Amino acid sequence: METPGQRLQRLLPPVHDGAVAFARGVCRSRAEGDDLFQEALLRALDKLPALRDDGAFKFWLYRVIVSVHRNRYRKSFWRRLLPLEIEPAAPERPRVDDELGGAERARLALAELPHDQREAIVLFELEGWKVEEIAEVLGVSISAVKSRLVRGRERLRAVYTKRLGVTAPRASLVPGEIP
Amino acid sequence: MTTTIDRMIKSDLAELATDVRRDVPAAREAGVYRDGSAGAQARRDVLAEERRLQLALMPLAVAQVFAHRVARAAAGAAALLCAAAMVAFLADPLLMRVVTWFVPGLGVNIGTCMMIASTLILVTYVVATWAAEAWFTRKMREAVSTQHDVYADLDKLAKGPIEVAQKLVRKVDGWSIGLFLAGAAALTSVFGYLVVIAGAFQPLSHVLSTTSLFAERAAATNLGPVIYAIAIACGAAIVVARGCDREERFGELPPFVARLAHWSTLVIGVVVGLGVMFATARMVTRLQFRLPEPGHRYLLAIFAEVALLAIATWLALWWRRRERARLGD
Repeated sequence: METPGQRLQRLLPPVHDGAVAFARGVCRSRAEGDDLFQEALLRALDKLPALRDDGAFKFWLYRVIVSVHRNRYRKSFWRRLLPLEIEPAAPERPRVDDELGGAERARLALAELPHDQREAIVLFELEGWKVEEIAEVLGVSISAVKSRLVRGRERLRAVYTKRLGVTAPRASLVPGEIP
Repeated sequence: MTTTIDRMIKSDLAELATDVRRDVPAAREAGVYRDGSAGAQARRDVLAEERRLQLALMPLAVAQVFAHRVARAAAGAAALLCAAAMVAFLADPLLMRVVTWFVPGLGVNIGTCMMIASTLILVTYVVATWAAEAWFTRKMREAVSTQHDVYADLDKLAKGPIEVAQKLVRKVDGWSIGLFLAGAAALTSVFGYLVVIAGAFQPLSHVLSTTSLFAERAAATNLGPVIYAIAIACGAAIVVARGCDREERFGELPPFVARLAHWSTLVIGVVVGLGVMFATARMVTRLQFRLPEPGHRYLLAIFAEVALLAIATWLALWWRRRERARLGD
């Protein structure tokens, strides 16, 4: 008779790297992501007997990670009490596009996204998943995933321009063109 | 420009995709018992930063409501103590003589007693407000501070400062309503009684300044209605306070307390109060140097207490509704 620990050991290796990368992607730092993955594994070990089909392990594990991640930062109470949007003014923030590496800049921008959009963006852009697969993991419709992706990209653009102070390189003027 | 930023986002995300796949430990190494202290520390730091931001943005109303609720409870307790002391002095005039022996020249009359009681209550309110604010600040600082034990910090930071503050505010709600009601009703009953007794033996113009009150046997021998009135006030205060406490816990006021919060309670209280005042004034002027029959006295005390409690309860619940609105409940 296989114990849950042995079963997890058998099912985990094929999806392990992707799941760690996903956990790191949705968190604000690598260490925090590793911690999230660790906690999700504990939860998975606890709930594994409820999983009947081994073939569904991959999506199930990702769902556990998403659930643990959302539970960690649930803050409905204080948001209800304090409906303030914390939006530091752009000029106070120095330009950082030149100072940060691309990965760090993307991490900072992703951290500004709501959880649902961040998860969709990470799975789609970083993990290269299909929209249908993302819909299954997040438990929403395909159109909802598409909508989250579109809104997430829009927000990323806004964060890059307003919060991170990224500007497009100035094009050289054509002679005779009025700037 | 949009295209340029899109390209930059795309390439940054690709870099991040490479970054998150770097140094992934092998599945066999990533056992569930790995030392997660680095991750826990990172999570603690993020959480602590978030909690500090919450504290910085916490509405001042929460601290103010807490301080005033504590102060109201303290002032109510002071009023209750004053009422008990007055009853003790009336029951045994010797006690009052001991006090006046310690403070020579203190002409004890109703006016002096009122002044002393109101000063004591006011001072208690102000001091309790300061103390409650200081204590609240300390609690909030503790709620977002971190120590050496990362896991203990994570447990502590799981609750935000606003949740901690809200819990404190809710905890003192019942006390602030109950002690306020009991104190206000008891002290008013005692002074009302003194005015009636003094009015029966003195011209009305001398009621507040007569110094023979505590030497009179009349005040000592007719204390029954006052003691009953104070007991009724305390009982009613406990019922209302428990009702408010129940609302904080279960989200619904008991029907009886909800009815007391209706504006008709205030109208009933004012009408009954005016009626009692009119009946008392009429009786006192007609019965110079004689006290009314016991039946009359008890009836008067009951109606006076009903009027007092109705008005005080409505005011306390109205004020509480305002506070809850400020807190966003």
